[in-house]
Amino acid sequence: MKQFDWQRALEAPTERFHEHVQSVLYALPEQEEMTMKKTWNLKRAGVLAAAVVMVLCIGVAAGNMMGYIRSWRTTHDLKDPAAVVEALENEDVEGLTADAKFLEAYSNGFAFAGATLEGNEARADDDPTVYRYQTVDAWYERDGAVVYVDISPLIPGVSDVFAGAPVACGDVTLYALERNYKVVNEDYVPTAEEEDAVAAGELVFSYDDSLSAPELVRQGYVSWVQDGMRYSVNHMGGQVALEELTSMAVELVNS
Amino acid sequence: MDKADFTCRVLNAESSLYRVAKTILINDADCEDAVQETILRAWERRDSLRQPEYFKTWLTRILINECSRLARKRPDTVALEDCGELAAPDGGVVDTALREGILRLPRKLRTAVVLYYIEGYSVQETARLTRVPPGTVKSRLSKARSLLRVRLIDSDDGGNYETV
Repeated sequence: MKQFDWQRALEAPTERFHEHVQSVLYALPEQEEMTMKKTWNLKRAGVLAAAVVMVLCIGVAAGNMMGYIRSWRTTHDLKDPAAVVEALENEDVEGLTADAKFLEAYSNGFAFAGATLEGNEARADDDPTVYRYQTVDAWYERDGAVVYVDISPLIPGVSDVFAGAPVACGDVTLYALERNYKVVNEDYVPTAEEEDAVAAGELVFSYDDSLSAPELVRQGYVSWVQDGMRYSVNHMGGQVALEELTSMAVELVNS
Repeated sequence: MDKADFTCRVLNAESSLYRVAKTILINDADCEDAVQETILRAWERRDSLRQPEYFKTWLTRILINECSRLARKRPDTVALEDCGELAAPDGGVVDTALREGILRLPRKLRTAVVLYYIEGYSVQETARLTRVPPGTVKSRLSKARSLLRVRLIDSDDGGNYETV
């Protein structure tokens, strides 16, 4: 049976494309002129910087990593639960441990459908220390709905931000959050009501410049720390209620 | 960064730029326009890049913005021409069925596929490049996989593609 060979999915650049790139590079000026264009560039840089700040705010609001730098290892597709268990038990995998919780299926019918192992580097904003770590991102499916369960080591100052209402689960505190993502293009101007919703943590903006009209996506997100590992159960699309995501989190905590 | 260094870095990223632009815009002429504008903008802003080791990612981000700008003026999917046998970057032959399956996906999904699976960016990097949350990236990859699975199995008489 043939698998997807992604490296054979697209062709090499055409000769005409290569020649075009070379001609553009050849024609570049040696030195930039001091013109009105530079003023425009500074203004454009300001717009882009604001977009970057918004993305970072999205990262904090979602309880995700701050100060993320880059991937250091190609991701690996883990096609069955045994491969996930093997990855968690592999001592060469940085940050993850064999004690990390993982379920092949949940009692509400969500079953393992795949996972990836990713290596990332990150640091907190106020600490130059760079942390290398790996995460397992698994996804589960039921009748077309997808729930993601992410497992990563807890990194102080980087992945120890939690958003949402606390829910006690024995010795563990879950944080449950439900909010709207509004996907807009760069020209979109938020309304006053939307700005209030952003400030209250009920609305997050993300950007897709190919969109001609905004799209609204509902997200449920439950996160917690247990024995030095950070977990999250999350779903986008509104098909799975926050209560059900919380039940799945409880099931994983108690496994 | 001087012109020689900039030129060298762009040429090193050329294949990647082509694949990303081709996947988003499909049309070769549009790809050339987008990459041309990308090179010019990157040259103008080269001093804003504080860590040259991330040049390729930075350049790809500019390219995606340019492609998005052009894409707004185009339909989401376009008719594909019969290209016959195409050379893959490793010297082998392109999997035509997979190529067509990817290029027939909606633009948002094929952008996620090219960045994640073909260019090897992580979910976090793909999220930053496309300015959407990581959860959205995962959702798009999941939808893309489902659509590719259905289309490739349906198109292959012997059912020779393994579901992934």
